[in-house]
Amino acid sequence: MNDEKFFSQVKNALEHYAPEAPAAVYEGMRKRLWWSNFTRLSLVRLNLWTGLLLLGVIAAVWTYSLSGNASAIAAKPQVIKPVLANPSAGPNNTEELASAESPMNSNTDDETSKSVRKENVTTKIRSTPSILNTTILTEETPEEITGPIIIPDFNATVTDTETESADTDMQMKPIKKRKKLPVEVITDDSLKTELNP
Amino acid sequence: MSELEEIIEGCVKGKKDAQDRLYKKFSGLIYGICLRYTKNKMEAQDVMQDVFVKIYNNIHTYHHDGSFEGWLRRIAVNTSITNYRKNQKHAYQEDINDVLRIKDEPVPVEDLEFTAEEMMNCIQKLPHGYKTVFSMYVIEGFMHKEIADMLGIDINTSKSQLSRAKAHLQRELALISRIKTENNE
Repeated sequence: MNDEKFFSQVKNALEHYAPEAPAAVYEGMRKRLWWSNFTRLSLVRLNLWTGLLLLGVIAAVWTYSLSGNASAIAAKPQVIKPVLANPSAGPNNTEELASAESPMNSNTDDETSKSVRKENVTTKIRSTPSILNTTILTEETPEEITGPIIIPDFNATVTDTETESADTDMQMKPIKKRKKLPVEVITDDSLKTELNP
Repeated sequence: MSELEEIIEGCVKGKKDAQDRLYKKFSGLIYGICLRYTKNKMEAQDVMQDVFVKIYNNIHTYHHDGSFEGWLRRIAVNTSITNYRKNQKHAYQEDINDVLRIKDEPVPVEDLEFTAEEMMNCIQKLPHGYKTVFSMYVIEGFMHKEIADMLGIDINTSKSQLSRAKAHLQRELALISRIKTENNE
């Protein structure tokens, strides 16, 4: 009985005891709250985890783009494109050049585009170093020499015969058929050694 | 909508001004609870910061089905007990002078009146384990079984610590009463 009375006396005195907390506690509490929010797993607010996730995504995209560029450079054939420059042309020169390069838009016949493609292929073959190990042929393929070659002539005036290709500012000149040379196979080993030491 | 409901709603939305208002309103109460369960004021302030962080982070779980003050008190007590258990390996390293000084002979103090400050100062002088058991049993109203489970001690240990805490407290209060009487004379 005495215990209960004493306990209730203590309880009444302390139950609503509320001393004033120091001001420094509030500052520390705000810092802890900020840190707690920062380290808490939440996707709706920017914190440690969303920051790391964002960083990971950026790194992945960057790595992917770098590897994509590297593979694109490796896979790209080294084709030397003819540069069609016209110093006297106006601001619409770019469009004209684009239409001239595209075989679908130009008015030239199929043979023209075929010859241009063939030329690209031959350029690619010539650029490979393995040619030094093979037997050199001096013969040129008939398609190469019979097909028309596009030679831009920007200063030339447009004639009636050239009206079809006037919008491309290019003049089509047929090339004279060369004399077919006999095939000569180089079998001299000394020349091979000279080319490929 | 009452002022408290506004504060709670603001805290749920994470508004800083609502959090500040909640802190101003209940910081004293939480500090008083933490003081009863910790060894000193520094530790009490440390635990108090943890209590408020828990309150702000979990206020959305309060469903208005009970007293908000009771909810806050429960968080404060649980956090303090967690802190006590964390430091449990040091909790029973009591000063030998404290143990020898405490006698189980009760001193009658029922007819005397004490302020909350005086009572709190006396409780602060109790050994940490005694203070914790006494606060849990007398003020929070836990049973010895619950105290034993929460603190990880035996029921008999809880009972003996309560008895010793009561004797110690009565002795300290009697001493204060005697000083007050001497000063008045």
